[in-house]
Amino acid sequence: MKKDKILQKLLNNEFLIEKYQIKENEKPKTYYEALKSDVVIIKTLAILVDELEKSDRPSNSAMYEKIKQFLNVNAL
Amino acid sequence: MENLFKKWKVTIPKYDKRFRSTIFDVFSKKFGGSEKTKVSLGKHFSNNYELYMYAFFLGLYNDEYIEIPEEAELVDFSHAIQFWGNKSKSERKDFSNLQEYMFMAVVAKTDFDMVSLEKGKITVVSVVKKLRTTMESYTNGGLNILERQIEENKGLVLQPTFFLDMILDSKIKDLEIEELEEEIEEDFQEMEDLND
Amino acid sequence: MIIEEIEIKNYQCYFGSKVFKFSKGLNIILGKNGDGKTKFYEAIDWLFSDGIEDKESLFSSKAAFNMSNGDSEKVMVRMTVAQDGEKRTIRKHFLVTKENDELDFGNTKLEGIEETSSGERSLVDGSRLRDLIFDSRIRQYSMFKGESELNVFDNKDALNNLIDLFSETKHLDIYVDCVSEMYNKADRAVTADAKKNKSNEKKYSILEAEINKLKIDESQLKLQISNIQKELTKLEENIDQASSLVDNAEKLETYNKRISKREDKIRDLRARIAALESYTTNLYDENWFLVFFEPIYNEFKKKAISFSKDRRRLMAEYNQEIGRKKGEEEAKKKIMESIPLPIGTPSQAHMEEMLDEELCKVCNRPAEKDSEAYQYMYQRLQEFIESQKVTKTEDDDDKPKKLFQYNYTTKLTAISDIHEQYLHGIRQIDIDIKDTFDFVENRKKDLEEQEKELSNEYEERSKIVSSSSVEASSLTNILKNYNGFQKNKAENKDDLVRYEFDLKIIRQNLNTKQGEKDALDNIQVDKFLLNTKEILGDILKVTEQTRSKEFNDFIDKLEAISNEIFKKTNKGSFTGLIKFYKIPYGDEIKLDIRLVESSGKKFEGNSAQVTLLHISVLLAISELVKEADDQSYPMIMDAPVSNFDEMHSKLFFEAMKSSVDQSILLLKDYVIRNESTDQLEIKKEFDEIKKDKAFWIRLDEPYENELLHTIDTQIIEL
Repeated sequence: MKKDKILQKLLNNEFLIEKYQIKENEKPKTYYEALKSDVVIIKTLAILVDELEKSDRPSNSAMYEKIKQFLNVNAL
Repeated sequence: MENLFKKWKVTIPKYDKRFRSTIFDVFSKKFGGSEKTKVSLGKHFSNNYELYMYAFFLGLYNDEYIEIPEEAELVDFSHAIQFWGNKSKSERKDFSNLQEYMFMAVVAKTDFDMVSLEKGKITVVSVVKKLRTTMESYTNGGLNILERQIEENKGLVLQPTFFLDMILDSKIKDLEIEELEEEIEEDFQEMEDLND
Repeated sequence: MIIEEIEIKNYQCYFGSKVFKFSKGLNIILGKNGDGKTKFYEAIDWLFSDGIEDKESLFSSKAAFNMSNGDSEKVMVRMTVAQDGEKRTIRKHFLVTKENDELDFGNTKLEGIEETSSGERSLVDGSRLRDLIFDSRIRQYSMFKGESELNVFDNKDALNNLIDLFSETKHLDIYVDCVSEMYNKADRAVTADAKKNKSNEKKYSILEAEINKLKIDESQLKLQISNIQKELTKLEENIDQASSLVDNAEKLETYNKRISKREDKIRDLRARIAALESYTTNLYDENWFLVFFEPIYNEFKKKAISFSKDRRRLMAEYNQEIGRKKGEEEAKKKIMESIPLPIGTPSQAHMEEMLDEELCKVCNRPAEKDSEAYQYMYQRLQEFIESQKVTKTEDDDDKPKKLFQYNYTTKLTAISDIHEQYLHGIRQIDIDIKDTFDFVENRKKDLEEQEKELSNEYEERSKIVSSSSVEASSLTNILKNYNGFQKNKAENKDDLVRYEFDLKIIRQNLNTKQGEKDALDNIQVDKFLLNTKEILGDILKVTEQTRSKEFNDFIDKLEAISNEIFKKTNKGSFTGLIKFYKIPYGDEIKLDIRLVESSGKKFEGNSAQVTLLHISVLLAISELVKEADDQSYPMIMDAPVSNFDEMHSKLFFEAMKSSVDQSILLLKDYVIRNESTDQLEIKKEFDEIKKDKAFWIRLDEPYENELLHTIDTQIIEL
């Protein structure tokens, strides 16, 4: 639940909405939904939240590698 | 023509020593200095002769003619009448004209034989002496009045109007001036008649 | 979380087991000072704390007194709450045994019991359960021993604690940290890749160096700016403090100026008057001595005339004698019986003129030749001419002696003549004296008026000084300081503007350079690396902004809720607002909570208002807690109603009831001793308070203060 909350707060950011043209209906309601999103940045955020909210969260460097990997896979 | 005024004004009148400590020392600043210092010392008179003049007029206007007793010690302040009132300080005016008025007063009030003087029967010195006596006696009278007043009104002495008031309250103010004027009118008429 | 029960057993003045059964809503515990209210609070404190304690002093004296050898007693404080659908109990206790007339104290234990709705009980770690029930950080905003503790934000860290507890702000720090680090890594990867391209190596290095320098400059400026902001905050505080006094100080300044001007005027007037009042000197310098001189002058004139008359008469007589002696011819000369006019009048020239014209100009009658008058004039002329001739030819023995050797008379008459014209001036002296007196009189009246005005102004000034709590000299200092502060503030603001401008420029340059670098990167760097960097950059921005928003939202919310509650409790009186000021303090934010009027101006408020301010904020916090943690926590406090009037007390209790799910308030105000019955009673007004439950704790009577073993607090449910 906390993950959802945090993600929602992040997704409500004006800058994000404007730059990535995120429409209201496109916004995922849960973090689980977000993990499945097609929008790269949304998914990235979801991964971020998912990982950082774990009780044994990864270190920042490990986080970096994870994100890099993910972005690699979803390369533009 | 001889000038009696000239002969008179070179003299120095005296006063009774007993007034020195009670009046002169108290009210006049002996030696020069600024007017401000005079005030700050609580003195009304800048010097002794001023006080002398004051006493003279006071005695004169109140007709208080009191000869200095014979046994009294006489003192003066080594300042001839001719110097009185000469403008010495920037803060003061020249009032040497008052010399002539005092002269007129003493002549008016002194009985002397002018005829004898002019005939050479009596010396001018003797006449001047008489004039001086008149002056000293009126002054003495004035000093007496002053002494009395100070005694009675100790607190008022410091008032700025104290000395002026005493002059203004003199007996002479009640005198009928008209009386005298009439007399003079008569004399003039006489003269006119004689000349016709 | 709702507290259902609190049991206090053998703890200080509570002998045996005493149980408080609380309900939801407003619970009030009445008790005179010294009857056990404070001990109640301390018991709960003891339950929630750890550390070395003096067990003997905690153990009820009465209980100790009643023990015999071999007995054992328990000292315990227990709290049972309803939370998360379960019943949870924590209890702290130790055993006391008496052996050989001595008391032995066992170890302190903390136990936790969880009981599900179905009745399943399980023993759990007491510490953990305790934190779960009532986290210490939350207790900070829920339990207050006294009125003075209500200003919770006096503590610098209170705000941070609050933020940490109830908003995601702190939590988001983790995100921001992580993403920053990732972004920096990505940025470095990009740079490293770009450098591989040798063609632009030099250009790139230069750019890199420039960017690094700019970044250093940027952080230096930021530091300077933050220092100035701290300075400005301090200055504002000082200015605020002084400004209430400054009103007075400025008024004081005005009066001081006015007074100084008037004192100058008065000094002036006094000097003028003194100058005019040199009356004695005027006797001389202005000839005021002569005021009465006219009659004396007339005497003198009379005398001078008489001298002149006598002299002429004698002269005439003498001449007459001489004339007789000189014989008949002389006698033939028309000797006038009347006294002749003195020789010399009219002059010889006149005489000759008159003869010529055959006219006597003295009497204005014609004098024809051979007339008597003519003859007369002719003879007189001859006489005169004769008299002018120096009779040297005369015989010595015939030479007549001069009657008068000296002539003093002429001079005297001359003096008299001259002063005739001065009489006019002498007559003026009287008027001059009077005028001077009048003038002085008027100046003195002026002076009096001015002095009256001055004394008024002195009074006004002392009123100003006495109405402020500081002395006049301090007021002047404060005004000086105040002006100094304002000046400082202005200077600092100028500096700030400059720095901020410089910062802007640097950031612009940085952007430009970054842009140039990015452009180069775009050309030569791997697309994937660039992409990663961009996304992480965006995410960084998002997390930072989200964190800020969290913070601001939280403050705004707190402010809004505080005001809602404040309005309710302040109904009918002061219409003002609570305002939360966010003050930049270096890298942190300081929170300043003030009362403001509807116009926006800050003001101090009396103690009741301030108390309400704090209560409102606390109640607001508890609402936020409820929201954030999805549960509320009870407020336990000494009700700070001693400063309130009846209406405000009522409103306060209503606010407590409506804002918090449960509150336990301790009051002393409603217990009184009936003078006739000498019994303790509850005031009637207590009934008017809408409460859910009330207790009265009182010492069991009879008791003696010195004999602790007689002390036993009873709980009476009302």
